[in-house]
Amino acid sequence: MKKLTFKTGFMPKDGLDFVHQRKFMREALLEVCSPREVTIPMKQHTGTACDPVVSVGDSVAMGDLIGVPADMHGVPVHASISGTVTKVDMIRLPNKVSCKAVTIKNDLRRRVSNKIQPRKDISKLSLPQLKKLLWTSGICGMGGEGIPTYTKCLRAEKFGVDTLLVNCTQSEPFLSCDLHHVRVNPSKVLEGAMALSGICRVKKVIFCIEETWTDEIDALSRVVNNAKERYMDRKIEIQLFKPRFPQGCQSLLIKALYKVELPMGKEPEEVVKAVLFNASTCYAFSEMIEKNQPLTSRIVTISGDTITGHNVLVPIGTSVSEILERVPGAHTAQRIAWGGALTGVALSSLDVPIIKTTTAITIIRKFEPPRLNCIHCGACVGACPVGLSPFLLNRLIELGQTEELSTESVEQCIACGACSYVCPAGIELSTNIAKAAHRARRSAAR
Amino acid sequence: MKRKQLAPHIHADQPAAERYVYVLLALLPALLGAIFYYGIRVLILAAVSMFVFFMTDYTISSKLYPEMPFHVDYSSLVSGFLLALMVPSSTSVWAIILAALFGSVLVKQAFGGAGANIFNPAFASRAFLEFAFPTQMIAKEAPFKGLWNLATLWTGKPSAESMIQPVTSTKWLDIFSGRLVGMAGVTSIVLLLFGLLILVERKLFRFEAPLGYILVIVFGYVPFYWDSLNFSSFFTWLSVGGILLVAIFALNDCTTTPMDPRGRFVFGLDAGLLTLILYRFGNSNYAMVFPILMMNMTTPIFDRYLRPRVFSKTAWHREVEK
Amino acid sequence: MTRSFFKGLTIRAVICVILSMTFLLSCLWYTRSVNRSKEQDAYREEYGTLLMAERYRALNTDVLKNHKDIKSVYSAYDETGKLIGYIVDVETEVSSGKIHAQMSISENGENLMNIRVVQDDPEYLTYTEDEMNELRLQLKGARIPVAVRQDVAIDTPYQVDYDPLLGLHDGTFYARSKEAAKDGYVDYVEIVVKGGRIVNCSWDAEDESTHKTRSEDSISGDYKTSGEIWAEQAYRVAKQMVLVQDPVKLAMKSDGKTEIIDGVTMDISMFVSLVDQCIENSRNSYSKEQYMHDHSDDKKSEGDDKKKDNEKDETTNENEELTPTPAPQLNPSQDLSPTPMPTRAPSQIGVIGGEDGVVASGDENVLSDSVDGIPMNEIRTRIDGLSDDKARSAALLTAVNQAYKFIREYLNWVG
Repeated sequence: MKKLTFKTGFMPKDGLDFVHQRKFMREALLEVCSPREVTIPMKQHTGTACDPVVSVGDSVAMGDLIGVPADMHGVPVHASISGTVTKVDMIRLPNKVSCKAVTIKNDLRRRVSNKIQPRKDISKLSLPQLKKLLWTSGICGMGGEGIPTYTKCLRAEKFGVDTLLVNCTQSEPFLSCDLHHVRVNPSKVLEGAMALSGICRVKKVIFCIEETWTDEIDALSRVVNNAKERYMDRKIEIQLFKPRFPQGCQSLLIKALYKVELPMGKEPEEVVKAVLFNASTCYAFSEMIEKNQPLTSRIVTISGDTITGHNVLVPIGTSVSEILERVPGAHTAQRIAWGGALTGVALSSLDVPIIKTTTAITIIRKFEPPRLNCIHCGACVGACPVGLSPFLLNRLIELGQTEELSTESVEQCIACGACSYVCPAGIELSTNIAKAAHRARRSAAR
Repeated sequence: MKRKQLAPHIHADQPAAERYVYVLLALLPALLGAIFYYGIRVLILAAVSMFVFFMTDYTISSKLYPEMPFHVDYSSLVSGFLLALMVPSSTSVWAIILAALFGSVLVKQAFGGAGANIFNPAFASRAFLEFAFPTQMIAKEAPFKGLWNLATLWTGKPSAESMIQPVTSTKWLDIFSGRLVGMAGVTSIVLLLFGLLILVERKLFRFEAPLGYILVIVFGYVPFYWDSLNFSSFFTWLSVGGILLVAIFALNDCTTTPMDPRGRFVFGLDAGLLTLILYRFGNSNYAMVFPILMMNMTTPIFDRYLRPRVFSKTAWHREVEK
Repeated sequence: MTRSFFKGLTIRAVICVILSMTFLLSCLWYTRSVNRSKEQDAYREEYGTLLMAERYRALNTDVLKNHKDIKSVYSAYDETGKLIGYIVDVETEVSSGKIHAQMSISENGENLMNIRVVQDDPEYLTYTEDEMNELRLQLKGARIPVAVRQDVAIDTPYQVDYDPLLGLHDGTFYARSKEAAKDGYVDYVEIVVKGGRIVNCSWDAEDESTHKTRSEDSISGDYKTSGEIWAEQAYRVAKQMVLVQDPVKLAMKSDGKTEIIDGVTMDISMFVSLVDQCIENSRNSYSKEQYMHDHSDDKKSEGDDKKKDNEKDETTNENEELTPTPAPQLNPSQDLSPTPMPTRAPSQIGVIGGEDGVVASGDENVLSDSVDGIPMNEIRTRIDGLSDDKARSAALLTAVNQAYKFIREYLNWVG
């Protein structure tokens, strides 16, 4: 089978190589985290925030609805543990989102909402029923961008897509949360994907996975072969990719697969008639179908440069400090990032909850990038997956030349961090340019 | 003040300083060869040249550009090293010191310090020597002849007996091992290729410009020297003319060559053509360094017009926006 | 820059240095060995007909400086590295012209192994193939030095710049010291006068106990002198004597030394006194035969003082008022006018030819001449040479003898 990839970007080396990552994956340990207290923000997705429907003192069980969306562009929020609501107040998340948050104190009784029970008539679910389940499940894109899955399905329906892509490639080194689902529960991922394909009315389902993950590919191909008999109307494929970062990014995956570059502001549904779901999202939806279980927990990869990484099943809203209590060496770390090593936000305080889109906590023990002047090597230009000239953009930002920035297409930046990663002089290109890109996009929208 | 912790939190290995140290290592075989053939003088020249380059760069950049984060500049060491290899073994210390000062102050720091220089400092210094000390810049000494003649460090004049080249019966070995009359460190093809190996092994070798250069040199040699086509004279020219040193080290310098691979290839082609023209029709003393300096001037133009295509745009972004 | 970087750098630097130095040294070694084998091939091609050897080595000794005629010398070794001989390239000038010859000499410096004449230059003497074969037949394996059999006194090529002494009679004249010198040798001098000129002169001494001559001992190394060996110095003194005709012109200083003769550093007072005696004998026509005859019985009655006194009375010249000194080296006072020693009659003389076991034959020639600066008594082999052209035969032999002189000195210097 032809292995696909795109040309720019970078291949991490040494401590970050893929072989190493795979070994780490085999040793991965799924811990079930039972926190003392969770803080559940009302806006964990892209879209409008929810309104809390509980007040201080209320007793909630796991799976109870605690936040309802104001409009169609939100997702409902559910309690992730059983306990008592102790606080409802404003919170500022590291991704600069400010919203209300509900704090629940764990009563350690593990009460589960009575709605959560195994469904008997899975195959008899009609399309409207499935849609309703998707809406109530509170699932949003779990790969990082956090678009509500229900919205995505509506958009897919509107553009009449014919392909559903399941993204099993990771957008950052060290991450393995999506792959964990593929390895442990490939059938559930498949079922979720098939249910979503039914909603989107697609004829073809493609699993996108990197060729180095042989165990996961084996597991996936096994269940795919079984499913082919049950789903005669749909084509199911596994597409292998060459490992390269940041391939998990939607536009780059589309480019590698279809050789089409998404224009600015256009979605893949419109351009290539394909809709992209994360493997974790598919898994979460299959949970909803089978057990009526809404999205209350997710798998978070705890990794870093020296610690032994593992995947932890974390109730949504658990604070980072509570997770890191069990991680040896975390308290001496130089920096702890809320997210992956390339794009995560370094935390100044560990009192930050895990939300639906948090893929990882990265613990960096030692990080001493070189501090030099730009040597005009062009490594950033070669690494930029969207073809920008980061050194030039950085210079323009330093000089404050905003118009020049827009002619240099700064808004195209996907903030992948590749330029900073490869820069031999250690110049912090990525953050500056991502900020400028954000500003440029906002001003263009106005 | 604690620096703000910005993403990404990991970094590729090989920062710039390490790259320069590996370039120094890649130049080491050539220096060893030079010491082997011409004695400890070459080492003294290299040490003096590196010291002057480094200290001048450090002093000036810390005074002139205090906002720069880092003033210890390993590229000055590379420039100093390269300069010492490109001069004849009998060059005086004074000439080297003057040239290093010229390269550091006028070529590098005056344009904004490391990474901002237009010309390759080592090659500009070498060109300066060509004009300032033309008599010292003619290689006269034969290998193994003036091994302990330290007096040349002061006088710049090789002794008469060291200019007699011995007749050997191993012509090809002499050509490849660099046992020829030439600049101290440029003559040995094999030792320079060792350096190339190190660069390739450390992924520091950008092949486009050297490829273009060598292509033009090889295929251009045939029409340019139609009257005296000859393998041994070609390889002798390749080593004595400094072609290989230019290809491996000058065209691989990232500051003074274009960023775009296509640009580098064209850069190499042009440099090769200029080299051929200067060797055939011009002053061959200038043919090693001047094509590089001339092409260095064009680097900003290459950088301006040869850019990667921005994502989702059909051609270079300027045209598309309209 | 991390520790792993320095580790990697160190490993690469070490590999790099080892690789480069290995390359450079192996290139050097290869170049040298190729050059050396090519050189050996060239030598073998050039000298293989003279002496086929595995390896030739050019000698570069200080001894060469004393021998301007020797162009180059090579020692030849076999496969096991054993010395098998020398190849000598001689270019010398003789009375009949210049000659350029190459020859191989055995490792002990005694035998001539092969010889050829380089005849590519018309200025030099040439030999036909037949001539060369004939000469080679005679010379191959011959012990050196060599002389032509009928080669008696060579007509002196010296130009008559110096006037001969007056009143000399033709003939061979002889004088012998009356008692042994400090070193135990008894000196004797012989001159040949022809047409009123001294045309030949030779000086030697004989050990009373071993009956070996001093020149012989000096060649074999038993008799040591500073500078040149004794035989060479003696030859030079004698040659200079023939040139200047008058012992006074040898400019002997009061300490018995002279500075006008190159390479002669020894005391020559004994020689001067004996020459004076010979000249007196010549003036008196007291020929060698007579002298021998007169002294033949003295051998049996050594130390006959009366006889000596008589002899002294007979032979002393006008300088007889000077104090006779038995040990010439200690001659105290004649600083301004070097005068012949008043000598007593040579009384300890023996029958030279018979006594000297080394000299093979031709006792009439013994001590009567020297060939190419080599005293006749050193000549080991006599050959007939070319029957029709003695001069050219002699020229070739001169070349051989030049080589011999060099080898003699070189071996002496080495061992």
